[in-house]
Amino acid sequence: MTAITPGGIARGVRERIDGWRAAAARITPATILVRGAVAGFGLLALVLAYPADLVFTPDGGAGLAALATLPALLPRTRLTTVVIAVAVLGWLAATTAYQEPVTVSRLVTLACLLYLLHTTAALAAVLPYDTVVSPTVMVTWLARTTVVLALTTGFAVAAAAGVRATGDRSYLVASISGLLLVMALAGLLAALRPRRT
Amino acid sequence: MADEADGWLPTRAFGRAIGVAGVLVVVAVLTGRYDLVVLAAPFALGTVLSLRRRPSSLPIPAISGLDTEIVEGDRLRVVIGVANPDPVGLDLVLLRVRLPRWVWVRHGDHPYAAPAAAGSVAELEWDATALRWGRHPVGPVSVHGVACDGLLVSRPVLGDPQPLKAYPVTEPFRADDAMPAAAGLVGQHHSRRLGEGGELAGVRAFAPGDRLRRIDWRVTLRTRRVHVVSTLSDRDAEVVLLLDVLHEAGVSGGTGGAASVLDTTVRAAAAIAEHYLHRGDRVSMLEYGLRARRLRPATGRRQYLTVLEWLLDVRPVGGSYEPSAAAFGAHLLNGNALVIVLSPLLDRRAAAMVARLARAGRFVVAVDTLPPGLPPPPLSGSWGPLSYRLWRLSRENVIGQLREHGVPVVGWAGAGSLDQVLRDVARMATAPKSVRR
Repeated sequence: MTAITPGGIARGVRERIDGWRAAAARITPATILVRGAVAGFGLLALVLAYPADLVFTPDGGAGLAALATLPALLPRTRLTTVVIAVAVLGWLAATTAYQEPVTVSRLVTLACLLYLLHTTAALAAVLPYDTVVSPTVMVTWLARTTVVLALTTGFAVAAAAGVRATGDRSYLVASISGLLLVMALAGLLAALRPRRT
Repeated sequence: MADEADGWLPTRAFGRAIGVAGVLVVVAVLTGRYDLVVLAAPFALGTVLSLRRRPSSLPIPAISGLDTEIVEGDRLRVVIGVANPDPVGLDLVLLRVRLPRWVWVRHGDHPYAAPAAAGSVAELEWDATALRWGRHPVGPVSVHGVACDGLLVSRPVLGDPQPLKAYPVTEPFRADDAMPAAAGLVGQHHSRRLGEGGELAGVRAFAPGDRLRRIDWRVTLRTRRVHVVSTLSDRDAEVVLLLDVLHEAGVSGGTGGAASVLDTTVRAAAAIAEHYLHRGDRVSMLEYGLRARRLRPATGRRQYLTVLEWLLDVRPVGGSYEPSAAAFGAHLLNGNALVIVLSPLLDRRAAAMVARLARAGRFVVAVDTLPPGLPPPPLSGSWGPLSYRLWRLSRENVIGQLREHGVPVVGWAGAGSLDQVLRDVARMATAPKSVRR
């Protein structure tokens, strides 16, 4: 068993720092862009979701910024799910405890930002930090995401119109639209089930 | 879920999309909040859109466009192709290629992400440089496919490595025609025997059996007696290149960098073999190591190519035992052969082997392949430098002892390295000697 000495600890720390430096030198611009997008979308979603009284305080702003950078640093972990959950909780707090109104524009923007956070984190998770990425990959990924965002916007506008049309019975809209989404997901999962021959 | 039998696996993003959408919808229905359904919508819609068409076959990687036979220092083109046979396009293919140490590619140690449309081949083209002689298999290439907006990822698929041979650079080498003994019937070396040849040996009186076309009319008219021109016969010779592979020393920097012992050994052997084979001599190769590889003597360009191929497999194969005497005995070498031993003379076994060959009457030349500027090993303590000096003195003593045995030892310096020692060996060959067999 080797004894732990101050010299050995210093050498270990030096080697660790050299390792980090070597890893940092290998980072490619494309992966910085993707992970920066993850952090940016996460921060914007949190800022938009939380009440302004909480966001624009030194502690609140710093805390949200720190939280938003975690999925960018560790995209293969559950931290992205945690950030999405924290944003949704902030949205619920803002619209209930802080009595902020639910506007369609804010709702659509938040939904789009959360999806952008999810999909860029998915891309960052499959790209090691030193990957040389073809620009075509990024462009086609963005194009597919745009389609989803457009559908989301249409869905949100339709849901808001449905709420306006039904008066105070927003629970009815929530139930019907939620049922549609659940059916779509259930159909998808059924289609994905392994076929037995 | 995704069909794992196909080789496609769901990612954490897949679980996140389903989980977030499901939880938000349930909470929305329970609380009657439509805004939560809107927040869940992109996750559900995105997942449905992404997974409506999913791939069922894996990408197929392959390395092509490789110039498999080059000379060290040459540039080569490496094309890595990834075929997507599936009718569904992939978001990207992530590929990594395992490059050998002596093949350099800019950013070759990075993974690459390239698009792979349905039924197409994504190609990645590299300019590579082979930095050192030897066999350098390029690959294998490992590929991951990513599909359905990052919700599915394939298991890794490996492509076979491609062989690459980098032949050693033959350093410029020439030697004068001093050969201790010529053996064959034809060749470019002037033998000490009279016969049909181009080198003038003298003019003598005509004797029965002389050819009429050899009559020297000028001398005949002057002396009033018939005289003929006599010439020395031209013969070929056998050269044995004996490579000491017991030890490697120094750090190879590839072409343009520092040369290790094996670098010098292999490049010098290639140059010497090329020189003598070009002159029509027979060249054979022998390894002094535990493997005792041997290449039979032959001549011509075919033998030169065989020598280059043989040199690719040179590697240090030492050990604590004495290499087999049966593999290196003087009885295996032609008595007229010139034996050129390429050795760093780091091991007493190699020096003893050279001395044994010389005592058996073989014409032996030792080429010192130890790099002249070899830095001393990092020795700690006050005794380190002293022990290094003692080792240097001991080695010089071994070289001196070899010279006393009649073995010239010369450092490798390319063209003309061996001229002086070959003349010495040729002169010694003409002197009477006693041989212990």
